[in-house]
Amino acid sequence: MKIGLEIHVTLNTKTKLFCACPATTAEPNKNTCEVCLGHPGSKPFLNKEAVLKAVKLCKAMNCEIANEIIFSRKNYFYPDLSKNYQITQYEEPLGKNGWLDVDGKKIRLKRIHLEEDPASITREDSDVLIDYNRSGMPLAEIVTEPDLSSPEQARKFMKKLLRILRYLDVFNIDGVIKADINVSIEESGYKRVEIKNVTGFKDIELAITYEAERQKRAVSEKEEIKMETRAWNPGKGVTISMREKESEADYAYIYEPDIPVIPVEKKWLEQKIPELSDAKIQKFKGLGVDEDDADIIAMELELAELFERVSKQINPVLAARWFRKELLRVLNYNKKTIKEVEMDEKHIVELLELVDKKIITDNTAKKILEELIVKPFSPKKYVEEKGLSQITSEEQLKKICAEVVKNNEKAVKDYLSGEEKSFQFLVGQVMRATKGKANPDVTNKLLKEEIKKNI
Amino acid sequence: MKKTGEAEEYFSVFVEEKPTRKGKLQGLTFSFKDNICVKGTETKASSKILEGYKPLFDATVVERIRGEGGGILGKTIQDEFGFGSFSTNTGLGIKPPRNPIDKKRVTGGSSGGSAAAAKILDKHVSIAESTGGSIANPAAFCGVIGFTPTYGLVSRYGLIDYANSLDKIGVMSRNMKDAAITLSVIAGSDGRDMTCTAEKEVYEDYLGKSVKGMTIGIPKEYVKDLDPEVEKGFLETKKMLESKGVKFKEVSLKKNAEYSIPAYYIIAMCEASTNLAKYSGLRYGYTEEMKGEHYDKFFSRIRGNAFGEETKRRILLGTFARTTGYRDAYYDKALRVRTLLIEEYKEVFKECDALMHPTMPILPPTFEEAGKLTPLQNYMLDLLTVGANLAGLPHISVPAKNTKLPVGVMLTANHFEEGKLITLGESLE
Repeated sequence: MKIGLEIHVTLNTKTKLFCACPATTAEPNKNTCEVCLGHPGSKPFLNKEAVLKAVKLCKAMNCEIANEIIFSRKNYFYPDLSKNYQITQYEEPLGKNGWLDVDGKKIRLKRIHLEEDPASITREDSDVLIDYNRSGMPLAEIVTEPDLSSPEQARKFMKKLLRILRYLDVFNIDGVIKADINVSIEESGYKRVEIKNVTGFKDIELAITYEAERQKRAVSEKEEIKMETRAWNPGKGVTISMREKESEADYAYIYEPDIPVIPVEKKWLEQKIPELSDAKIQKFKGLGVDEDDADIIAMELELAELFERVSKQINPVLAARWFRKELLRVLNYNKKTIKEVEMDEKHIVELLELVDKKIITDNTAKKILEELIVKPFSPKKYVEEKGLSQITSEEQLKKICAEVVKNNEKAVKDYLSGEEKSFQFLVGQVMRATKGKANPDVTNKLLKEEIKKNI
Repeated sequence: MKKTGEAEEYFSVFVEEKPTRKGKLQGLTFSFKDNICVKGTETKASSKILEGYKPLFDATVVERIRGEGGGILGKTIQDEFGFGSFSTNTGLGIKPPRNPIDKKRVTGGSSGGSAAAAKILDKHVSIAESTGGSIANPAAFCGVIGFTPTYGLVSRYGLIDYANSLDKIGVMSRNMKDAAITLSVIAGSDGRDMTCTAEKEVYEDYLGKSVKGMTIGIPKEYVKDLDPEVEKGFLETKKMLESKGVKFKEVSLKKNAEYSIPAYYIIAMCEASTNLAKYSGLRYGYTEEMKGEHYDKFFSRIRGNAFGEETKRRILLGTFARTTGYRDAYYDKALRVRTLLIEEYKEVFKECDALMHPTMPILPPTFEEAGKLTPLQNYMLDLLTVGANLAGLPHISVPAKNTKLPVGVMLTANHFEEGKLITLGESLE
């Protein structure tokens, strides 16, 4: 199977690609001006921030970067195209001949270039509504060679791409990722079918899977596979043939005469690229961290870097467990990212030290973590002040366990007749009496001893 | 306003806006060719497809003129979108303006209205636009000064595009002083037009200087096949400058003579055909009721009904020349030829301060004579002005003296050497 992707990513610049309109979400047609509405007399003015971000992206994807930036007009008529041409890069893209490694296979990138987004169209009953907020938004178009050989591989590629976009902080999270997909199978002699305009990660994988199946079935039923363009219907989960024009559109490109040729400056090429996700995952694995945990921690650059600093002072495997499970859980619950939280790493280190030295129980630690998200404080001081240290002394706990067993005859009886839940109830009673500070392992052991004593 | 009644035929809109502040331009009134956006005032580049369109913003040149105390009279009539040499291709329903010297003759084009307004109104300057010679041509035919600056000196922000790599905003007036002062105000970058990055000068400083010792080249290909009256006017102008100490020499613009017209028209039409794609009745301007048809049919209907014939011709030719299979032979080739033509001019400027030749090879024709010309014959008349326009060189047309009908003499200087043209032009007043 051969799969090629043409992916459009919205860059997270402050303003649009060719005008000063804000690149934010707003009520329909609010972020517009004469330029992005295509009024007569308006002229494009290139957004430098978009160029810098696109150069960064090209660099991270191992591209050769062009010496000059050249824009062209792609001409066609459509209601969502305010000038009835799109300013894009045709002859000489910003980056070319790049690649990404997926499971040891080099997936080649044909080109990466900058272009403006058309407006967005919504169909409501028989009305066609056009929102020009999207018109003129900056897009990076990433085109792969047909090197992907399965829907699975395509998904991994997309996942990797998304990681890179996040790490570089060039991706507008309000925008969606859209892709045009080329799928062809060996059985048909690699007759290429294009699926246009698939939105979102999940749908891209679903569309490829469906199309591959459709083509295989067609071949086995001796049906012809037409080289055509199809549309993806996310509701029905199928691709459908588009009744498009007979011939390929001729865009009759010209060089964009309103934008002079711009030499790429050395200092743009010298922008720093952070160590990327793959390298971080390998690094964490080298510290003994489980692959899955490493993958999840390396999802966001800030989280990965925090982990790197923390794991220099705390056992990496312990830290990984807490990062992957508890920290993310608490962040998600509060609907925050690590970037948005005032998290001082020395507080995390303190907390994990308390856990590592078994000074507090896991439960206590979880609660402290929940508070740390809200505001920073020293866990060590907090534990001292509130007397939250774990009770591990058998002498102390023996007395309490004995009390609990004595006062809960029924539960003891139920447990002895097979009800595991009743044992948990007894544990809970010990926790209540100790305000959650009893060490669970010691508690278990002592409770069982007490129960045995009473039989 | 003296003679406003007579001037009405040259205006598509009168606003008669009084200045709200003082400045370098106080005392002067201005009109703008109809393809220059004036906020809130109907601006349609003499085309039906922009009928009723009122821009949301002022063109940079309008802002600057207002800012220096210039009064605004209104918008002048032109060939639709700039497509023409006589201002007879005015959009559907607009009456072509008549030459103020002889009303049976054309004003020239495409800035015919501007030239006429500059001719008959006192203390008035008209801001016009040139793509292939649209300032020089009507200046010659109406007997005024037409000043086309270097491409990129004046911001095109707010100019309705004909051909973006060729369009230049310029000045039409009866005297060089007003032209120079106006140029000082409108020139220079404004941060909204990426092709305008030049720093402006104080152009009045070039007034009152001597032309003695300047060398002017006369391209031999551009002084043949001329109407006898044109030749007479040209030679008189040459004598005048010689008497002031200017030296003349013969030069050759062989490549330009042969290739500038086809190179110009291919590039101009290719760019124009994309620029005019935005006019489709959807967001502004002329429209009709949608009949539930496919958008292609709707766009075609609007454009078919509202574009004039010459406009349609240029869109078709311009689209053809950049279509796959023809693009390399026409559009791409024309761009490469353009570079060679610019180089030919640059070579000649190594030995001359300026070039001089007649602006037009003929006297202003009557409407009847103009109507008999084929489109190709029309295009060929641009021969003398197209080369300088293609190369983006600054050039002026100044009226020759003592001719039966207006004759223009064109002076071209090297890029950003407007100063020389001001000095030379003033010496011919």
